[in-house]
Amino acid sequence: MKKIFLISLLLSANAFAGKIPSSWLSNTLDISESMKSIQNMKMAENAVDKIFQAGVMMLPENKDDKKSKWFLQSIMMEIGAEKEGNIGLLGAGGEAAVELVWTKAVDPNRGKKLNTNEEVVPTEVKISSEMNVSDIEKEVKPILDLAMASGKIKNRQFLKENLLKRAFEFQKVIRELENTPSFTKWYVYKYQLDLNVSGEGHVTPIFEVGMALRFKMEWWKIAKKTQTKNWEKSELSDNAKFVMGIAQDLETFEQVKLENDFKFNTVKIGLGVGVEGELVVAKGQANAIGSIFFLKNEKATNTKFKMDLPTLHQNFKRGLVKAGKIAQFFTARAPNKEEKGFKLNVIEMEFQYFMNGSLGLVTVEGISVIQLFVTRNVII
Amino acid sequence: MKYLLAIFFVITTNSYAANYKMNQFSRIVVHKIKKELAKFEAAFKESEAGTVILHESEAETAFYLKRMRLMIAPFAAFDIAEEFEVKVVPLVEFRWTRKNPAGWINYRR
Repeated sequence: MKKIFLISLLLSANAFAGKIPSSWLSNTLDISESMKSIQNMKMAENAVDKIFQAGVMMLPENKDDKKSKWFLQSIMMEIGAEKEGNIGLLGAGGEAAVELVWTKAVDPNRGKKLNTNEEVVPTEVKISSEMNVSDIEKEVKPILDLAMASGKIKNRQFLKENLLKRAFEFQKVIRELENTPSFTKWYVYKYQLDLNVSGEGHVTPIFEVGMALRFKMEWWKIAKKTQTKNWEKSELSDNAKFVMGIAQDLETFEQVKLENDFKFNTVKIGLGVGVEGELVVAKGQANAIGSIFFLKNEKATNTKFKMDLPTLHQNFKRGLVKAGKIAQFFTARAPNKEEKGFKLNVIEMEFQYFMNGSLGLVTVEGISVIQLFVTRNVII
Repeated sequence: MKYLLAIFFVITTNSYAANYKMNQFSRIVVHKIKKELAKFEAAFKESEAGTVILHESEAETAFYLKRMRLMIAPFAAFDIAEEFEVKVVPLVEFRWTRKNPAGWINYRR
């Protein structure tokens, strides 16, 4: 069985570029005033322009070895921000406020080579109404086997027990949400469990430099080809309503128009569990049980929904409007042409979620629980 | 199941002037990685699809463990251009993507 080998570059640099308004990083609900200030915007534009120019300069020349199994596929760059508003390219360590991803156009010759001799192995599927930990072990066997083969883990049994327990608990939570309907253009398309593993086999959602391994497991929403069942309101749990409420809140982004063909189409939100076992937005990585991804279908039409859905927070929609303005700023200045065979096609903005419901770009010492993706022709 | 192996590099540098070394470093790093990854490639090649449990219920949608990603840091950071303090910390990502079960498609609103 032939495998496909790809190479991506993540570039980081400790370099201060300039300043954005500090209100973009704080729990301020509205940043309109700061965006009206000519001095503020001039400083921010200069800073971001410098960062984009540096990014283009650091792109390597496209010199793939056509015979090699490996080729450079994408380049990522992280921008860090301090609470005073200073921004620049981020060195190792700290939370990134913005991630830029330049992707490479597929070389027609390489593309053909990628598709030939690739065998797709059918997965054995077992239908069951119950799930236990040994079932989870069968599902994650490939990733667990390779982790063990890496030689990075000293206490293998510890890793296995920890990993399986977290995956089992997370899968129980999302199983409950299987029949949650979608009524807006935004809908849940996957849940993701991010776990980081130390050499001793400790498993944690928190990433620190020096971690031996990182696991990402994604449960995508699938549907039967033929659907006949009508949805019943009485089937909705509080957690299902929580998810639907977020999708409804995200409709706020309809007001956001982006330049340069970018689309605001993916949102990732960290999930936690409240005191009564209810789903909540995670307060940080430590109490996160996983993440939920919303995708926007531009062509879908909203369906009228006669039920009151909870909103994340009264001010959350204002926070989304603020985030939308920040996205407009970055996309308006983003390089729009191909450079050395790469094009900036993904901008990921990382936000803190404050007690007052607002959002602010995460600072290097902060905690990001909500990520907004603007993309050109890419699905995350 | 489709298999993908992606390699990420984390590079820290204190100077934009390190740019001129970029073209050389990618060839050097790829060569080093190839040697290190030989042991992983064999295990990756042999990895099986695994068994997936699809929840039996009346619901016509389900959440399915479709993709798994494992990121490994095969070795520590190393210098590419000492005079500019350029460091490379490679990360390797192995990715498995499963086909949907028969009769099921990706959900789309």
